[in-house]
Amino acid sequence: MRAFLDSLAVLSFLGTVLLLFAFASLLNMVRELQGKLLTAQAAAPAAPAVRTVARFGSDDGLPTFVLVVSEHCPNCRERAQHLSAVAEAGLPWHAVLLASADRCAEWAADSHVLPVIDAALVGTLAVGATPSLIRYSADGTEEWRRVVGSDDDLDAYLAVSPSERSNA
Amino acid sequence: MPFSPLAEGNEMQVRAPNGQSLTVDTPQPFIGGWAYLIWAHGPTGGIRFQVTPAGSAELVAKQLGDWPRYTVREAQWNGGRMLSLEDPENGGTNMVWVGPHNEVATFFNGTGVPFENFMDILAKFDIRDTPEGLTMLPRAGSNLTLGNLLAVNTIDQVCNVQVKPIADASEAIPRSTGKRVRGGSMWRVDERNEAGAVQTRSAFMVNDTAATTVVAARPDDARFISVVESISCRLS
Repeated sequence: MRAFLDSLAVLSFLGTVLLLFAFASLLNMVRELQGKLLTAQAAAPAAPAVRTVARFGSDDGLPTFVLVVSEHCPNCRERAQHLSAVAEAGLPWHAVLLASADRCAEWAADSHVLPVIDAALVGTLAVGATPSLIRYSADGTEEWRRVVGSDDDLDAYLAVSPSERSNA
Repeated sequence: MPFSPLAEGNEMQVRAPNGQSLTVDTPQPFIGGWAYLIWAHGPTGGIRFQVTPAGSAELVAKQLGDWPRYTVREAQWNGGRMLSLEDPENGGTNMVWVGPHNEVATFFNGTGVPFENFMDILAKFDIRDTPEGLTMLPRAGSNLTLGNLLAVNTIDQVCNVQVKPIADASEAIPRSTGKRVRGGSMWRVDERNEAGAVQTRSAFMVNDTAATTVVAARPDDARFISVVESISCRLS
């Protein structure tokens, strides 16, 4: 019995060691991947954010404000609802709500804000934070983009002209 | 409730923002999670960061009654909330990124500070937020180095504990021989008022990795003495 227990103990110890080896090789693989990723990043900088979107151009010469929102973001919802409330017919700009989740379209329901659900487009615009407001000129060229932290800021950004607020 | 991982006994191990392990053994539990101050030094000067349990900045501002004064802005960044707490009276803005477990905050002079300024700074770090702590290691090419770490915690009604790496405290170590205690060599420091009464009592102790200052809530509290004799703080 004793010998049996001893051999069991040895086997379980060996098992642990084997696991450790497996773990170590896994770690090595991860490190190699990380290294490759780093060199890849150094070689090719990230693709620049798309700065021209034809569908955000307009035929009437008016600019378009695009509010980029994400689904699980309470303040995105508040900004979207505020944009829906202030966007009326006859204003000198168009308003778009851009998101990747269908659910967000509800935030602009029954308003003059056009919901656009397009995950690929959200990805290529590459906004850092949400909600972000982007202003496009009539030919679909981005003029500026800003993170919108409050309804007051949203009002302020909607009122400004591009010359007053140039931003990379 | 802030997360405070407790191992057997009262030994806890947490992760400081610079990636170091902080191991603390204490006879009495701390009131909550650790708060850290850390500087990132670069070619254009230093930036100070506060790393605290998630929600601390909002909670503290509300407790102190500062919250109604602030212009609050909020956005979403990297899976966490990003807050701008603008103080028009003092002409300054605190920016906070609140992660799932911890948050990191820094201060900007002026008002109307765009979130982009904060995002540009945070993007220079590899930020990882876990229950054990938030680490923010400068990314390669950022030309930033972390320094002047200070970790702070409180034992309710007894004392305040401040830990820093021994390398940052070498000038503060007295020439006299300290008393041997569990946490290393210890010196008692009394600050007296004009009448000669002890106003603030603290203990300074060093070992091979950390310098710890323990400040008593009340100078004549026996619980303070017992903490000083038995607490042990290590950074590795």
